[in-house]
Amino acid sequence: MSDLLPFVVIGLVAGSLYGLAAAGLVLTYKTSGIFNFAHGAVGAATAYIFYDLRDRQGLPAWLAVFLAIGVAAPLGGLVLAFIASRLTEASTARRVVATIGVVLAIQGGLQLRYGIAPFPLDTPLPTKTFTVADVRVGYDQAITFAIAVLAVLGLALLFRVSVLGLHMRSVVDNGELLEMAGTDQAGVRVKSWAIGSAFAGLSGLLIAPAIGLDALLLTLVVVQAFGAAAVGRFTHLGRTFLGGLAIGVAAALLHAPKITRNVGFLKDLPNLDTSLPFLVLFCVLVFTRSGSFTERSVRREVREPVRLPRAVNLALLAAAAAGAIVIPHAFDTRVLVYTQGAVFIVIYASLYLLVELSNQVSLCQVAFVAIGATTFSHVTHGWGLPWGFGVLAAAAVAVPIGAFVAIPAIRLSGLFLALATLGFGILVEQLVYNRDVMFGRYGQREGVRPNLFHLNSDTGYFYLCLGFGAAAIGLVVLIRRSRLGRLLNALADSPVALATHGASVNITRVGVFCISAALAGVGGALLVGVTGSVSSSGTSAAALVSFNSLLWLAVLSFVGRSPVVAPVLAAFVLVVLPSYFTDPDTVQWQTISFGVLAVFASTFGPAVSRWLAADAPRHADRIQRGPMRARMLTGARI
Amino acid sequence: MSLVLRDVHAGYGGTPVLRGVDLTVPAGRVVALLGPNGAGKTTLLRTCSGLLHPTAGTISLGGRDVTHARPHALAGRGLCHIPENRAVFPGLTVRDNLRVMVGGRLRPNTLDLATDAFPILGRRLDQLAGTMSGGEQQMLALTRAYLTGPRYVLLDEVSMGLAPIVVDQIFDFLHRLAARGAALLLVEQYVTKALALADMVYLLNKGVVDFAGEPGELDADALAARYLGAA
Repeated sequence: MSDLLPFVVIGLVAGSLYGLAAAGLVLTYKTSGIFNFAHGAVGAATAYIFYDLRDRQGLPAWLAVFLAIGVAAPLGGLVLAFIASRLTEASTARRVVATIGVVLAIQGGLQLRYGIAPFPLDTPLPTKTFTVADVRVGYDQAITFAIAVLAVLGLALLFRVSVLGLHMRSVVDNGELLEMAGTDQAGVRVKSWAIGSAFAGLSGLLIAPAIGLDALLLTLVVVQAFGAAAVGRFTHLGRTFLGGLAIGVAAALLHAPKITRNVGFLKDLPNLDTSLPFLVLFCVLVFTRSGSFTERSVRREVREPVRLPRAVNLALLAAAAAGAIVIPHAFDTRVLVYTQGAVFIVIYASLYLLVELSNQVSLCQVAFVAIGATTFSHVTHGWGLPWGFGVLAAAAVAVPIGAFVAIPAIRLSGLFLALATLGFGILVEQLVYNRDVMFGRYGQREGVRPNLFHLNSDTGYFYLCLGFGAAAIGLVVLIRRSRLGRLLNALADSPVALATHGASVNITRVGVFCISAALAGVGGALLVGVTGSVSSSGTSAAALVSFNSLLWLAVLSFVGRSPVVAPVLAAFVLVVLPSYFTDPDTVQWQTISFGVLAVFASTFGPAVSRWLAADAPRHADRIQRGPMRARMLTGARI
Repeated sequence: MSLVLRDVHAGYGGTPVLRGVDLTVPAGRVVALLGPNGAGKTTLLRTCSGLLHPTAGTISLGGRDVTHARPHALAGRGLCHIPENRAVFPGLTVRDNLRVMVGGRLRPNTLDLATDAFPILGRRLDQLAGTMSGGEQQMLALTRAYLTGPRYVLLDEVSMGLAPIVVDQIFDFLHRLAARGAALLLVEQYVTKALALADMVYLLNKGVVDFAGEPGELDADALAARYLGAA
């Protein structure tokens, strides 16, 4: 037992920080109904601000701590409160994308100002040690643990005893009624966001000295609080904190020699400890009774699409086709970039199918693409089978995995599907990417292009990928017009109404997820042929790192809703456009602008499109059927 | 000193519900608002209390324009809206519900007032409101109109779905509320009970005022016909 104690101490300290971060997350989720995916990013930003104030501006540590946690983080909370207030009537996809946009903006901003390379942060706490029961404990560890426990206790007490806590609990039950009783519910929500963000900041600041200032890692570490929050069912503060402690201790014990010696498979799973919170998150969501996680229902906004006359549509399509044929000749030095763009049309078609057609959110699309790419590589490069078999295998392997991830989608909806897929994407990256079944220990897989006609030339392969892109869009259009499309539309509008009509909601959902996964898998297979290999890491927006699932989804929020235009435009801005910028910080600027655009699209998008559409239907009518006066005089259908 | 609506239009997301309503609730008087399902009674109350803002027309309270005031501000000006369907916080104890009603902190006389209004509440103080019976929840909801001493009380179907004996208790309470000098705007399904209490009555149909006058002027047969939509 005594040789396990040091690990228990480490685990308790880490776990208390997960619990601390999770408590802030639960607070804002309970009071506003908006799940803050940017919670970790706020923590990361606070740690960087502290570093900047103390180490660059030379402020005393106590003042830097106060300004970072007491001023900067709550101010960030105000921004989030504003965003959340614009989302009360929004669909699940918009709710998820809005805070993911904040993650991207913060992430890009931090990397831009402080660089991508991580650097250490000296803790402001004393680092001497003392000994308890033969275990050396750092004063910083003890103080960290004490701060976390006290902060969560304080929050629980505030919630139970104070007037603000009473109002917060009232808002959770019925904000409108609180308003009628004479208390401004918006004010209560703003205060909750400020406190929740201060908690995120505090946890970020306390974690940073242990892992260094690394924007991505800090964001993900506080995201690990999601696991603890899941244990607390996203509502109970106490259980959430205990869940955090349990996860922290369990993760630390995985490093104890006594345990690694006796449990053989741990050697093969080096990242199991960091993945543990996501494993917990995923398992809690998958294995709980349905109905345990109730989500406030949201209305889907219905908009009359702007329809252009058929002739105009055909002319535009012809122009686009002509343009596409010219691309390899006009931009011959960039043909690989455009090829990659064409591949992303397939990937975006898969996302579009899920997000726009069935109002489900997937935050693991990168995982499906990676699975498709590596399967393709095994089949063609490893086993020497023909190219076509590889593509088929990529799609076929993705289908059962899609079905597996869709299990939570069947029983839980919207937000919780997003959380489960986020957990799944990170799990695959941390536990499976470096295994032989995927990228292997060198993180790279090779593949071939089809050895047929001239398709293995750069130009030929571009046309091939473009053909796949067009086919994927055609598939989406076809699905939209088919029986499945109508079911999906009905599903997005009202699952209950669909069920009362006798259609099986669950089978429809699983079906969509599988088709989407298969398309993403095909995209992965095509991706290998672009450069002949595919890697498990990278910094570009197209790299197959799990974080990019968020980036890809964000793009889809501001490229419109047309099944033809949206995937093409999304692929263009994600892959092709950045290649025209030579600035070394292009990736960061891209992340920031995608984030800001996603936030804007999800908070103001409906208002803007309502404003744009106010005149559009009448206008489209006029093009189709002639001016109103003529129609009235001739007695045509008005 | 009245609650006055002038040519109020309101609705939800482009669907009009109220189409030019003129209505006055004089201080200290009881006004019954009757009408068939879908007439716009609830919408009218929601518009009065600021939960919904009129698309046209004005609302004034005691001579001040409150057309665009928020609900909490109106509550501060002495307007109390008891919405339909048991307006309590189910996850809070009865005591905490009472605290919210009086702005956060119990005053010395709060509990006395509450038990004076409905004695049963005194025995339920530490129970979660959501675990009480429907009648007890409605009593708790109504207590808000008693604790804060509002000058105008909007009551939306407060007797709906309750046992007859509880309905009697609730109407006793409404009589006491009126006797204390509060003006009541009463939406009710127990038409005869409502008319017995009311000084004035408005009939609302399809978003417009069909009839305004004293209860005695209203012919029971015509009223029934209106309710069944035959008028």
